[in-house]
Amino acid sequence: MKKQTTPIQDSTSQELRKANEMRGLWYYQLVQSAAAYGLDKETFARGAIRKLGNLYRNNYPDTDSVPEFMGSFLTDHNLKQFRMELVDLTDEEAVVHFHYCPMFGAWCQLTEDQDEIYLICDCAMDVDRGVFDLYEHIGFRLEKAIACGDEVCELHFIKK
Amino acid sequence: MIKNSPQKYIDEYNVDSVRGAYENAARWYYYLAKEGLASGLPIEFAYDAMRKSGDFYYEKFYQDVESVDGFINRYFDFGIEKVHEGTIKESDADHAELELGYCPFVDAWQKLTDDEELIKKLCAGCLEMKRSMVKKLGFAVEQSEAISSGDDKCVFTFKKQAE
Repeated sequence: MKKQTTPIQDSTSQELRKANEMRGLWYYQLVQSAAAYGLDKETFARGAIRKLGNLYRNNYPDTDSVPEFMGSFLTDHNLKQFRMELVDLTDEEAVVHFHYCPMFGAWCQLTEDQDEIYLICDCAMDVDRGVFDLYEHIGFRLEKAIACGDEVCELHFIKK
Repeated sequence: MIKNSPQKYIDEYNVDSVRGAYENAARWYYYLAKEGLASGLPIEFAYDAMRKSGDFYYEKFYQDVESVDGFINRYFDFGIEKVHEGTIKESDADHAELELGYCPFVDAWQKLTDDEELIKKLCAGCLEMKRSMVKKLGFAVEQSEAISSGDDKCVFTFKKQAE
């Protein structure tokens, strides 16, 4: 699996990265522990994280407009932490590339099992799916993922 | 009753930003712990996860530490000093006392639940992480005061164990 790097090394970004890596570490260990205690790993992870995504819906505006939503999503911190790039924006669809993921960085330090990392990543993306469970007219689709070996994570936000 | 609000570094952009990220980590921990508990697991499942997290941090940051003050000086990073309003009250080769004046994790949990007993349990997981972090160094850590228990601060004492 290709090692990811980021050139964004100001002190605040480094501290944010440490905090986000900690989030990835805790998430990974809690999922592994739940499985060790007998739960189905994927059901457990998706169940928890989807609900968290539903909570995160409160962070975003009540809107049917994809561009308006993107205004709230593309925050300074998100842009720097994930090296986000808005590659396309119309009234119908926005496409964003993430060139870096701190949680993926943490998982790569915890396991070499690429199938496991892909599963953990996709379950974690239920946080974004959970946000869009509560949008009537905007949908979300993950097309590519660094955890799958892609160069970027490619997120699509689509007018329904 | 829990009393927990930042007293220092308020409105400092870099501290506020990182506090937000710590709160976010705490939200993930909360939702995963709640899912496990709702599925019938004991809280111990979360503590096992936090111990493994502490093992990871030991492996990554602290393997070559030789003294308690060596450990605490390395542990006392931006997150501890600024985000948690930490102060090293005393330290020497065998002993250290650390105070934290604010907890972003407790702050996050208070926004999610009124159940202070649950908050105490989640907080105890973080102590388990610290215990794992120092165990292989031959140190122990105890917490004599906890914001999650209604105290004004968290107080941790790190001690070198007798061989």
